[in-house]
Amino acid sequence: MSALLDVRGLSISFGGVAALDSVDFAAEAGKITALIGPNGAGKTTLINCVSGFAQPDQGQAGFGGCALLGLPAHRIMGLGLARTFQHLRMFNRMNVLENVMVGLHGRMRRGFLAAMLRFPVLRREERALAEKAMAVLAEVGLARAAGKPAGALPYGDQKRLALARALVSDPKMILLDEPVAGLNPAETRVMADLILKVRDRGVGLVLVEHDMSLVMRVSDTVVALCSGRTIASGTPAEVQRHPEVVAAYLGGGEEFGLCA
Amino acid sequence: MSPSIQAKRFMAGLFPLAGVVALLPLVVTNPYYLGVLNLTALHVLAVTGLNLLIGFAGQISLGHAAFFGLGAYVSGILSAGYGLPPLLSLPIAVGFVCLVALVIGVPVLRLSGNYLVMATLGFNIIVTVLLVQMEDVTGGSSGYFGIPPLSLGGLALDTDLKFYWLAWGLALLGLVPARNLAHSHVGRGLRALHDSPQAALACGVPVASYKIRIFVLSAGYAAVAGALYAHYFGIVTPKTFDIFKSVELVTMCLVGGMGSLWGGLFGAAFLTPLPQLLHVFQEYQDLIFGGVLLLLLMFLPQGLVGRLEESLVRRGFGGIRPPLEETRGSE
Amino acid sequence: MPSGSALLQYAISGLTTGAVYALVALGYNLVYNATRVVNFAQGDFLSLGGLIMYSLLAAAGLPLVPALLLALAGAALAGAAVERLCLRPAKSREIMVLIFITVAASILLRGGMKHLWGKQALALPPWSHEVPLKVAGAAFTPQNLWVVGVTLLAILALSLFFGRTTVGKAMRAMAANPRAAALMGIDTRGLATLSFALAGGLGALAGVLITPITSLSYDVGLLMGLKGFAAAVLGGYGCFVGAVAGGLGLGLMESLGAGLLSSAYKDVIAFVVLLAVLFLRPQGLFGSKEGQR
Repeated sequence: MSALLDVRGLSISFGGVAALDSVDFAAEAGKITALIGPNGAGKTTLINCVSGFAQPDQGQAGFGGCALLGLPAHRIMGLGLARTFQHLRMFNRMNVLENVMVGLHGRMRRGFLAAMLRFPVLRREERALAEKAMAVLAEVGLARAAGKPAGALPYGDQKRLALARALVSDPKMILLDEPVAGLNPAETRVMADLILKVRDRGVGLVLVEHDMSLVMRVSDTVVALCSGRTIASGTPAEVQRHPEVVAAYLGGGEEFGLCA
Repeated sequence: MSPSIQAKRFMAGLFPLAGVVALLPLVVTNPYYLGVLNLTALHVLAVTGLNLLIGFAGQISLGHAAFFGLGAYVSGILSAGYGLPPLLSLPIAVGFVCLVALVIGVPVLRLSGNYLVMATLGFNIIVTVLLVQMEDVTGGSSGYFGIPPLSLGGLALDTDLKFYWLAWGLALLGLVPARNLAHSHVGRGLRALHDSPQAALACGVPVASYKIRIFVLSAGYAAVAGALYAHYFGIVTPKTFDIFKSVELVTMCLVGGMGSLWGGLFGAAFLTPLPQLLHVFQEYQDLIFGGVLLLLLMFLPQGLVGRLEESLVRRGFGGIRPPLEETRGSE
Repeated sequence: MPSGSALLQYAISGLTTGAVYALVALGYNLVYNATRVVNFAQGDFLSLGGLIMYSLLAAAGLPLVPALLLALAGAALAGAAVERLCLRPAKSREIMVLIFITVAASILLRGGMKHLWGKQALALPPWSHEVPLKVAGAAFTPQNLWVVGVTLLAILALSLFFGRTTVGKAMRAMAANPRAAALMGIDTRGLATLSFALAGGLGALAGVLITPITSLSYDVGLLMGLKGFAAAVLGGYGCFVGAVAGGLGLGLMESLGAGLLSSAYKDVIAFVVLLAVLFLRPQGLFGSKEGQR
């Protein structure tokens, strides 16, 4: 068996402090793999390493047979591994549609010269791009907001826009960094349904999330990190009962209802 | 609105402007004023490139006068000193400047914010000092003169009016590829890396290489303007291309409207003649110039044209309109 | 190989101009930490201080110390005015626009000074007698001592201000996190004005110290201001130790470069070294990674 995303022995330290210490992690296609752990456990760092935003000191990461480490972030996206950010990082100077169209940037094969000379083929591509982006916006329920400046959307809509931006390139897998942080219960439900819908299309998802009820509800596999180490992995129920996980959360004074 | 409709709208603006440019020489016949108009056209060219860099990609350069100057000196020296026809020396100069921009850009564009400002400023200062000190080649602080005018197939562009046609023709023509770029996926990528380099990377925009390319391209625009300058005025001095020129060019972008190509054009068209017009106030000239600039930046920060475009955007005319919206009316 | 006394001579003149760069750089940092704005009018405070001092000494016949204090106060007032009258009422909060507002303010200030004091070079007398002193074959004037000594005092006073006083600590809190500082009830707007006033005073101090050695005119601060900016960047923008180190480093580099290599290319040498440092350490010598923005 080989998982779509396969991480082995990943280690990285910042200023002498180990953020990840020989972490193994795997996420399969068409499945939701949740990554949980208290703040500072190294969840976002793991995502950053895999998506090319941080260079680990040691370890390997493969995605569908390609080695990821050392590749620049924009190339990793081209392999079919997309990501979102905990802080939204919208392109606020653009409207919603254009934000999603940027998500298709990796598809465009032509560069500056073609763009400056406005090659006819480019015009066709541009139209196709806009249509594709609109379809994805409709999927996340933002079609009506397409012409609005991205920064003017309510926070919950921006979260879905971020998902649309990652989704539009038809990735094989999306790394979601806290997709429901800051959302109210109703918005969280909408996002959960979306996440499941995306999974059902065969897209693999890695879900970094603090909202345990969401994690328990949607995940196929849960991996718990603590202080840069994997302390448990398995089905949601297994991980929830795992003594080290319980200890990590209770000991860390975290607010999650893992013992419920 | 689909991209092609956007392109048509831009062209719809370009043609009346070309008309105004074509008619102006009927009114302005005084060679001095024609000279100011010609300088304006060169500034438009340089500012168009700079605006792509600053307004779209969000990378500040306070060193563009150096590219302007290098373009002027290289084309000037090659034609006057080595007898190359200006039509040949000009593209060589532009190529040379692009190469310099590439060499400078690779390390410099890793910097951001104040560090980028300082590095580009420092580059400009270095170039100015070199132009002054390398007297054997550049003629030192008194300048390099005797630069022949451009000639196109036997027609020498040796009068203000003849140069006017070339300069404004190129200035307006130069807007077209810039505009195409701005409204393409590349332009979107540039704006994306301005707002969030990380998110742009995650979307597959090659951020580092885009920054370098747009830097080189904008340097190329400045170099064309510089080379034309040299062949028009026949003399170039280091002082013309010092850091204050760089500041002036960026100011034109800002006053017109950052990230708006029309804005750059109007910024240049407003600020180039302004000091000449203020000349009648003599010693109050600087005070008035500084004051006008201050008030514009304080109370019209989107720029002259930017303000207009912003209100258009608010009414839903900006950016790419979703294709569905066009059909909604018929639903 | 240059003699030891020649090297000492270069070091003395390098430290003198370096001290002035450090003062200017500190002014940039003060403003930056409080407002995130690069204040391009910083160099004009230097000219203004020198010019006010000149008028008070020559025209009004005031003694040195009151003239000095009034010059500092005048430039501090100008600094506060830049913040209160130009930046605060501005409609945009975009840093780029705010930076160019200071550029416009600088043009305006320079225009005003040209109007009031004229274009010609003026001579500010040195603070004390002009008999050069000699140490180990190197000559220097008492003014050199004044520059270095007063700069050291100013740095000491600033560090006491930031370390011991409530206002100074509030400014440090604001530099670290403006939003949190505002939530804690710190008057961030008042501190922004204060930082500009302090920067004006520091600039003027640099002006009254150095113009007896160089010369004095309405635009003398332009180049000095840029060099101060370079020093601030070299040290790591916003960092106080960095400003002092960057200033002294830049001054020494210039003077050694001029003495040992070529005086015509001294600016080239200084800026090439500056660029080289930035390539190796994009955040400056003492800057932290977050300081890059």
